[in-house]
Amino acid sequence: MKGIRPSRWGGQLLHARSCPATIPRRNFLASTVRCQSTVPAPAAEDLIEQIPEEGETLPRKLPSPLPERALQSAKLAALHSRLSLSKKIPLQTLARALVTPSADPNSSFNNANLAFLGSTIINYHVAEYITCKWPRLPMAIHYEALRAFSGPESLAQISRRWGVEAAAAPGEEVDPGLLQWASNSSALVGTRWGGYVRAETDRKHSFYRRGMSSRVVLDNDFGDAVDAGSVKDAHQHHQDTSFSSFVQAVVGAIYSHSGREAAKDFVESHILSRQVDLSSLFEFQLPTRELAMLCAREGFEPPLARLESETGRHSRTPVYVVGIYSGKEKLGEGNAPSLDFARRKACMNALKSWYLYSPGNKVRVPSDMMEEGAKPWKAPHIDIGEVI
Amino acid sequence: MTVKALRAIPSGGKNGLGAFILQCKKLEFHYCDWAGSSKGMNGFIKSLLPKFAAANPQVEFSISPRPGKHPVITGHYINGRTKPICVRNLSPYEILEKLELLRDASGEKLKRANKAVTSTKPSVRGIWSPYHGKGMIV
Amino acid sequence: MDVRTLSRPATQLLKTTRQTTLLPLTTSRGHKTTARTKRALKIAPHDSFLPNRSQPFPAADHIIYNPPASEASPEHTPFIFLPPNDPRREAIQRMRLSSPEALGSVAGASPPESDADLPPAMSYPRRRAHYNLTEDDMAEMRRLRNEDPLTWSTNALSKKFNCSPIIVSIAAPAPAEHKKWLEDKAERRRERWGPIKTQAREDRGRRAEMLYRGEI
Repeated sequence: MKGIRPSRWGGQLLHARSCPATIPRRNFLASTVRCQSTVPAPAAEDLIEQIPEEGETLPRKLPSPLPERALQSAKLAALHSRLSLSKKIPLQTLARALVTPSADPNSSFNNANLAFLGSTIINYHVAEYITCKWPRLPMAIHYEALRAFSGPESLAQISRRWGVEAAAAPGEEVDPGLLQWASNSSALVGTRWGGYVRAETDRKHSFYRRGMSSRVVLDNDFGDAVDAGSVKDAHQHHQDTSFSSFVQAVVGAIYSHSGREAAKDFVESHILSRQVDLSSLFEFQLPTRELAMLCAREGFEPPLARLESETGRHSRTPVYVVGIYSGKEKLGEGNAPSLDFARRKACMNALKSWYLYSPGNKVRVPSDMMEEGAKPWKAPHIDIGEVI
Repeated sequence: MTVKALRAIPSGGKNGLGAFILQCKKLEFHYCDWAGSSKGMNGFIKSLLPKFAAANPQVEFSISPRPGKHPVITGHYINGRTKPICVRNLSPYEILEKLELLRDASGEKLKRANKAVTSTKPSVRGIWSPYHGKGMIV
Repeated sequence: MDVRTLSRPATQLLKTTRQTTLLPLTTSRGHKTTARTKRALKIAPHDSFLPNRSQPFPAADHIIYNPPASEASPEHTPFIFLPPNDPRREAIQRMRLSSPEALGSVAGASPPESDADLPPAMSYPRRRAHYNLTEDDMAEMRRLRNEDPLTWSTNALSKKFNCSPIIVSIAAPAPAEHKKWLEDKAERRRERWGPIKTQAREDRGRRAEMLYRGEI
């Protein structure tokens, strides 16, 4: 085994008070035997005196490994180093980031708080990047782009690429360097953070319109309706949320120990660097009508399809290349084996080139202004909204 | 609202673009105290391994005896594959070379790369089409 | 193949234009390795990729510009879609004024002078707003439609009032019983279709959906 030098990880981050004071509604049996910190809290003795007599009976098996065991785990030290985390982030915090609420429902020992903090930071940075880089994206595409960068499936993929392994079953005895989650746990894996449960969810058969505005107001960060259950593949969903909560908790830990800039750099290098093809996210319904409406709204001449070239009109496999023009300016073109399809495809390409307008590859985002000595803010391009 | 969104999860990031993650996550050492073929391995574990382990904190090291067998080093990789190398009768410095090979490997099967560039990005110039451009006079 | 390889430098010395191709282009097979095949198939770069040799010294600054012979990607924003404060807009306008031919056929290329230079327009039903109907026309349209919906169909009314059938269907919708009769008629017609025609119709709808999702 590799030698671990505890002196290197000397920063005892969790100078929190010992548990009885912090967890009001937990059973004392589970909470008194373990403490977040090896440093005794000043008022600990007074508190222990208040514990009822049952506290002296034999302790039960703990749901997750003790925090002080983090210093002995080679896996954890290797993971810390593999992610190039700063020395300021102690191993105990990383160990806590690996304990999901489904393994340990005690919020003083699981990663729920760190993951919530991390998810807000990740979603903020991804959303501001998408908004500044593609200012004309429709809201539905914006949500899916956000999901492609920082949705639970994507974050779970990232954590697997970091080499995170799950323990077969969570418990006190497992290595603290393994992710602890249980698929059969009654505890909610991903606690519902954003959004509200809609009033109509319990009325099964009634039809309610779920428009974009209500998705923005009522639903969660990715525009999905918040309701427990009714997940298609529950096991897969639990697994993804557990793995993704580790990534979120790591970002939360970086934010709390190393600060805002470090967290932003981490999000940029691990999450925003992924390759997402936005042009594959579009599904059109009436592209020709939408393009005509767009041209009318923007004051361009109405679009007209022109046949640029063709071959094999009387054969089994013809090819038509159709361009869409507004006046004399070309908006887009498409090719297909029929004139109608080629025209619709050209309209779709023209609309995509409208929606995927980008001011440049290196856009400034609002959080760049928090750096010291930042240049004065220049307002980014703000679009008037999608074509209705 | 006529545009709907499709759900697409990106197939994966490129390691080294943005952040680099060393793909070797664990190195296992097996040795024998008695056998002659483990002589170099035993010397390696005593003299060179502490320094190597200190220089590579990203990797988990585990050493265990395996009496009566040849010494073996096994690399475990993030993609789930393993690479075992038998290091019988090798000198400590030869073992160090093997170890560096295991540490730097990606864990993938070896493939012949006969293209200078392999990319998942679409070509900048697009796919050639006979209906576009002015045509090259050949 | 050997003849071709040998003769190429000689021809290029004689003529700067690409006359090498008058030689027969035969497919060459039988090279033992990939490297040899590649080397044998290597041809000289196109003239547009060669540096500018118009003046011997000092060498002129020269940008090689060779637009791709491929469909434009939607990542390239067309000129009129650029917002007014985008720097690309000014750059393209400047280029259009100074050197119109340099832009070639890319997204920002200068438009042709007249409509005659554009490709031929396609004929398909499209929105042409006239705004020629008055209140009286609408009332007349509604009266005719209610009197005899069979004679005064949507198409007949749109021809009479010189407007689009969609306007007619909004301004003067048919009576409910006539709509029902039309639907029944269409239904009876659909019932007469055989399996092949039904299948073909379904496939056409499915293809359109795939097209809208960008799958074909």
